[in-house]
This record gives sequence, structure tokens and C-alpha cells, in this order.
Amino acid sequence: MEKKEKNGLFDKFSDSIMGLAEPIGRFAQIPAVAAIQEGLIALTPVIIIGSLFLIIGLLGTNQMTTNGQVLVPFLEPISGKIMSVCSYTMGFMALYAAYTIATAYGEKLEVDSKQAGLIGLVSFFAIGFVGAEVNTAYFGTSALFVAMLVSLSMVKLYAFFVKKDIIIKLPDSVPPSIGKAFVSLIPMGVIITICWVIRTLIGFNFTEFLMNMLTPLINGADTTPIFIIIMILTFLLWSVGLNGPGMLGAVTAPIFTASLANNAAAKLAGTALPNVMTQSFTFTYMWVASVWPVIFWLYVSKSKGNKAIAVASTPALIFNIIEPCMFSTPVAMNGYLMIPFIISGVVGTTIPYVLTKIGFLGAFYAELPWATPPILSGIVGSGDWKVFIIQAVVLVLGILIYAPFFKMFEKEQAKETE
Amino acid sequence: MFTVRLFCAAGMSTSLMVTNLKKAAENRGMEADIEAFPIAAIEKELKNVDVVLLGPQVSYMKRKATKFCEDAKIPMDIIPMTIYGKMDGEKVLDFALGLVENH
Repeated sequence: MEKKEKNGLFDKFSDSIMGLAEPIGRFAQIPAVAAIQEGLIALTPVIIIGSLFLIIGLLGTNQMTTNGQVLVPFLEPISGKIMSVCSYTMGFMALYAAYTIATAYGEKLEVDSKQAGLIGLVSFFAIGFVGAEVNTAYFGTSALFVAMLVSLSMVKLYAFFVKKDIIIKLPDSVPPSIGKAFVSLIPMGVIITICWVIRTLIGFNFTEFLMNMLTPLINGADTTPIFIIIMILTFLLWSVGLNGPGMLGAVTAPIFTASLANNAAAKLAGTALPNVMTQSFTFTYMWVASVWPVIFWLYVSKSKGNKAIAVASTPALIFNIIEPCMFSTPVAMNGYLMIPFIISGVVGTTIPYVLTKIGFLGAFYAELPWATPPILSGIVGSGDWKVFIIQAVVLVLGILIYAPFFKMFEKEQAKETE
Repeated sequence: MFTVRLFCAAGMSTSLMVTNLKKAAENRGMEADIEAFPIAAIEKELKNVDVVLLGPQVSYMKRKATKFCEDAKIPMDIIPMTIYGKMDGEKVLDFALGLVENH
């Protein structure tokens, strides 16, 4: 069936997307890049728990209603205490990332990952502070890039020392666990000295410098054109059956994490939410706009086979797992359905993005696991019931965009079964 | 014991596949050890494995996976999209057995 559908143009189209996927895939596999992604993914439980405390705490404030009423009055006296969890969970993202990214990078470079994680933490402190005067502002997401850069470069340096054998070796009679700690002695000494010279001796505040330089860059990334580019890439990659969000994670994860933490902090402070582009935001609309319409058309299709695929794919799709629908319909590599998939996906995510940007929709300040059904992630993540309306709008829009293409696809199917 | 390891992005969609694959093996009276993992963990999950299967959505990792599996002398391939989408345990089991046979 697939062979018959293929014509020159379609082949060229899918080949060029595959050509695009190759370098992206290779980029995502660079150890440092993969370590950033894995390190940030490891922070997910902290982000989600912080989100839950924030949401529960907010129920005890007057921020959830428009008329100034408190939604759950008995929570009011302790709402501040509940929300305070947010400040050392989502508020300390950079500090935790310094550890998780360093650990992940240590694993990639095949050095002792415990020591690597420790080096991430120690160098993060040593480059940021003089003595024990710790400024918790440096733990927040504005220092996320500092954490990445410092932990990656210092773990790399550590691995260099270990691989070049510039380490203290104890006799074989010493238990290996003790010997391991001594391996780090020389590289750790060098790393701390470098950071100390920069921060304390010379007095150059690298953390502050990088924060001032890169914070506008992160906030600048949360714009409509960049969002559209990320969405186009995501849907192009999935249209040939490749996991777009997974491949782009190295680039999107820092933006998503920072955006979410900025919004949570703003919500906590009761000020306007600065960002739009969070992970929960994209998962609230992405598949509703581009894959749910396929299920709709499969259900109403006259073909029994199509109906069966719809029934089989629905349970997974509810939890944002699109593979069964994408591969069995199939949508991926299907000359008829790839195009509406890309269009409905990009359009259906850009609309809510713009609506959030102009303030019609509430921005996301809390995050649930990515496999949370979109019907929940939107209302819980942003607290705005209008999410449902926009979800319905993009779903209907998707159904309309797919309509002519799906009819052509069905005709082709009918021809084949004849 | 027939040991199969499946890898996809987060190990979620292949875990659906695992359930069906186990059923298929049971139907044939085979003793099988089948598990799914995220592709990032592939290096660590290749001990005593008979065959490795990749979900089509991570086919961009094929080169890396090939390298690890060749080093470990384990047959490996990407599950064809349409069988994967239908989560067809019988066909995937045939596919896995075929890989082992031709290795």
C-alpha cells in the first residue's frame, strides 16, 4: 500500500524531512546535550510536587476567582505555608540541575557519577559565592544556564584528569570504595581552585554576568516566531514517524523549565505571569489539534478496519501516547495525512499561544506529568476554564483541516480493497 | 528463555507493545522475558538479551543502537511502523524470531 502511494513529490518531501531529522538526531546524541536533557528530565518530580503545592495553596487565596472570593476557605490560614514549598522546589531549579546534569554527564563520560554530581554542586557554589554568603537568587532558573555550563565544563575537566590518569592511586589493598574517593582528590582540587580564583581572588561574578547576559535570551525565546518554528519542527518530525518533542528536548527543555518556574514565582508573588511556552501548555493542545481529529475521522469512517484502529488507539491517545494512531492509521509517512497533520498541529498550537500572549487565556504556572490527559493538564496547569473552549476550537479546526485529505485517503483505501 | 528488550522514547508506548508481545509468547507456550525501556538506557539493558527491538519513533537512534548491539552481538532492528501501530504482538514476535534466526 505504501509503495503505491509514493510518487516523486512525496518521496522528495519525506526524504527532505528525514534529511532534517538526521542532524537533529545527531545533535541530540552529543553527550553534553543529552546530559542537559536527561538532567532536566530528572527534575520532573520536583517540578510536579512544587506545582501541586502551589495549586493547593492557591485554592486558599482569592487569586483563583474573579470576584475576589476564596475558593476553599478552610485552606486560607495556611495557604502561604502550603505555597512556600514552591520556593525551594521550582524556585531552586538551577541548584538541582547543577547536580542532575553533572551526574548525567558523568555517566555519559563513564566516570564515577557520584563524584561528577558532587563536582557539579561544589563548582556551582564555588563559582557563585564568596565564602558562605549564599544568595538564593542564584538558585533560581535565571541561573539555569550557569548551572549547565559550569557543571558540564567541570565534569569534562574531571573526566580529562581521570582519563589522563592524573589521579592519586592507592595500593590495591585499600578497599575500592575508599580508593574511588581519592581519585577525585586532584581534579576536585583543581576545579575548586579555578572557581575560587575567578570568583573570590579576582572577584569576577561569573554567575551574575551570565545571568544578566542570558536571561533576556531565555525570555526572548518565548516569542511567537520561535514557538512556531519549534512546532513546525515537532510536527515535521512526527509526520515521518520520529519523536519530535523527544529529539528537540535538548533545546526546548531549558526554555520550558525556565518559563514554568518564572510563572510559578510570579503566581506566588501575585504578579502578572511573564511566560507562555511551558511543556504542559504544548501537551494541552498539541495532540488535541493534530491527532484527535484523526481518531474522529476514523470513528465516523465506513471502513470497519478504520473503526477498529480508532477503538484501539483511543485509550493510549487519552494519555498523550500517539504512536498507535500515528503508525496504524497510518498518519506518519502517509502522503494524504501528513499535510493536514502538520497544518492542524502548527495552527492549533499557535492559536492558543497567541491568545495566551495577549492575555485572553491564562498562562501555565503549574505542571503535571506529560502523560496527563490534556483535558486535565490545561485546567489544572493554568486554572483557566477557557482552556476547554480553545481545546474544542482547535479540535474542530483540526477536523475541518483533515476533512478533504481524509476523504482522499479513504478513497484510496477503497480502491485498494477492491 | 527468550529475552526481548524494546526501546522507545520514554518506554511508554513500547510498554503497551510488551503486554501484547507477552500474550503472543504465552499463546505459543514460549518462556519469554520481555521488557521496555527508554532508548537512553540502551547501553545498560543489553545483558543476556536475545533480541533488541526499537520503536519506529526513535529510528533516528538506529546508528547508536546498532553500535551497542553489534558490540554485544545481539540482533537488532526497528519494528515496522504499521505492525507497531497496530500493537500486533503476534507479528512483532514473528519479526523478533526472524531477526534471531537470520543473525
